[in-house]
Amino acid sequence: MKPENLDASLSRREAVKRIALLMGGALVGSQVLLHGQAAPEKDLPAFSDRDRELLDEIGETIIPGSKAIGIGAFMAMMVTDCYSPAEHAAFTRGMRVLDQARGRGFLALTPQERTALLNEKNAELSYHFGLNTTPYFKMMKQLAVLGYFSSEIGCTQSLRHIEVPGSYNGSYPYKKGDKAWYSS
Amino acid sequence: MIGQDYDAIVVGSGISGGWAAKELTEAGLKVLLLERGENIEHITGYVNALKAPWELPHRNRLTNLIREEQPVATRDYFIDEGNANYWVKDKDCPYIEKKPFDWFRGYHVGGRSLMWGRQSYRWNPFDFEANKKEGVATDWPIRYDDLAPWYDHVESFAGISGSLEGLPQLPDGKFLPPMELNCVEKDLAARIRSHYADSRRMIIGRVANLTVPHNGRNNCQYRNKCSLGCPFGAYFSTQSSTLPAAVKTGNLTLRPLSIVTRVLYDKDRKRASGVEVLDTETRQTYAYNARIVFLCASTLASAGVLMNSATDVWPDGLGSSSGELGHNLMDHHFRVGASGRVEGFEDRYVFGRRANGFYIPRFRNLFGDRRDYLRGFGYQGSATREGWDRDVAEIGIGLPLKEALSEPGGWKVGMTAFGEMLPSHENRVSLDRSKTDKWGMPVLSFDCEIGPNEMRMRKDMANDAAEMLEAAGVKDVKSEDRGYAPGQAIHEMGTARMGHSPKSSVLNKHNQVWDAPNVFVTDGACMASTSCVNPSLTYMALTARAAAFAVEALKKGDV
Repeated sequence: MKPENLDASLSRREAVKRIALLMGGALVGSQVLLHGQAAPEKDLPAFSDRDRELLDEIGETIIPGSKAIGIGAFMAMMVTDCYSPAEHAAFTRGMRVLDQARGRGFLALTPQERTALLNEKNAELSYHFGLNTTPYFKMMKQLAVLGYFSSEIGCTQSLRHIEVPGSYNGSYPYKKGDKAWYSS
Repeated sequence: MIGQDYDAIVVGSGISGGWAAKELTEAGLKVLLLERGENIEHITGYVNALKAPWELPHRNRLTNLIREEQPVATRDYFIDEGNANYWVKDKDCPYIEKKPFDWFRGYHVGGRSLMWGRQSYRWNPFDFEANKKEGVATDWPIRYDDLAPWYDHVESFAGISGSLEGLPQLPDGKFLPPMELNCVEKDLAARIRSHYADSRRMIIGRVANLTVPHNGRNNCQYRNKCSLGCPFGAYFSTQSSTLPAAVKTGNLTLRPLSIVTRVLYDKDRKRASGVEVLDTETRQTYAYNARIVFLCASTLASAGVLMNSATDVWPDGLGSSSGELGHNLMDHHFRVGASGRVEGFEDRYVFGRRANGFYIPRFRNLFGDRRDYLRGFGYQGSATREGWDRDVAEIGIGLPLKEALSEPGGWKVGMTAFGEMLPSHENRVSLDRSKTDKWGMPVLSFDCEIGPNEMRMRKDMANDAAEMLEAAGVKDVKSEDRGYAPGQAIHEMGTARMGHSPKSSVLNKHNQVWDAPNVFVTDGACMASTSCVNPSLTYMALTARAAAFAVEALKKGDV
């Protein structure tokens, strides 16, 4: 098989991201973007119920309504099943950071404090260009967005989804406020 | 063990094999269709085709398990949680890369006809003449006119939707009504046509999706889930189209789980007597006899079977006397193009998910245009409005993010070029007998790369894309060459080319192996050059043509 070093892997991820753009698609949250090739880290801890509770609240802060669709369990599953060991480890470390944030920990913060904290983390993402690993908050944000908008509630209430459209109209009327399609 | 006798054996059940089975059974021949993988039943076998987005646990993203079992397929973007079961478990079937080669395989009934891109274009007359005219490799032994009636034949049955354009470089065919360019694409198309005085054209893709009911099959429902298998039978696949036709004759026996290890060659008759099959369940081998054999196992697998056949006569295998078996391996080189942002059209959106895009036919090195390379390229792309998965970093998190992503973003357009790759004797695949796969079969070893002609062409592929988008008023246009390794287009061709002479080609003008005229190779292996258009329609036409010839030859006792 073709040996792939980290640089090659990064350029592949970048390539895939760009090809999706070129082909007119988009794939934020794709494992191709998230999956790194760094050295495996051993003994990754499994997610606990408390972890999922914390992730539920983090998810809810990123996308209100996502706790109701079980975003904590979704994030934990995705990280366990789809992420590389390095990303899994970075995600877990990030979770611990948030668990101790502001000295009191994320769960003890008021909704306003949680939003302010995660907006800070979000703003920091723009400084992460060139890093070898995906910043943990980027993973959390991508997973919250993916988990919510691809859920039944997200698909059908925040977005529109018709499983069998049956026809195509390439000039369909749109007015501001109309929901986006889940995919188009 | 000895199996039964048949009139014809078809090896492989993908696009080419399905056509061979249909044409031969309809001509009254008793046919054994061999497939190395499992059966996938039409409709009931498409396990993920009717699932809602939220019913796929990982929301269609790849899992580590898929990556581990399918290390090659997951190199690229087309595999996902929903269709991963249609791509081969690479782990079981390794190969050697002396140079990088992405070999994307589908080992099951239907082969890659289940997951193909469905873009269907005729070659043009210049494509068949170019090798001779330019002194490249060897001349095609056929011309466009030889194949034109067979394009008619396969298009009429398969159902290809497309627009009539009257372009010499992209001949019109027997089309169903075209799909529709969307409002932004129509605008870009009009601007490009006018800017280049009609010498360049953006048209709707010609695609093997039905726009109206056809031959008892339903029309496309605009779900854009083709790669999961279509429960409506709305795109051409072996399952939806050729297999039911072959079954209907009562002349077909389909045998899945059957790896063809070699063609059995009768030295005295200088003919194949049949094939040897390894049953992947029982691990027993069986010999099946037939009067003719159609090798349609795919460009690389068919070459591999030939290399493993008649080695007592030719150490490098059946068809190797020319010195060309396994050589002249080609693909389309791509992953270069441009993208940008389209302003306006905020009051326009789309309804339905169109499994198709636009196509810009070749315009380079034609009609007096002369570049510093040979041949040309075409573009495929689309304009779309961004969705919830777009990046909106500036908005922050919380309700503003949720509300922003609940509405579509702006329009963008992107396109990527597919370029012709010249045949070269140096680009080859061989059998490495020192390494075997799960079934004990020797593995293929790849030694193939693009050359200076392709590298020069890629500059145009990037620059022309950006220039056209800019001419059409697109903003923030970025062109890019993201690099390429052979195989990535999944348009592999060559390895057993057709030609005029047994000294320089493996197959004659009827796809017969020169050294065993009752063996026909009609998949991508037979190609003597690649054109720049998607190849599957041409495999269909070549297969139907060769099958008709084989039936006549059998009647006359010529094979």
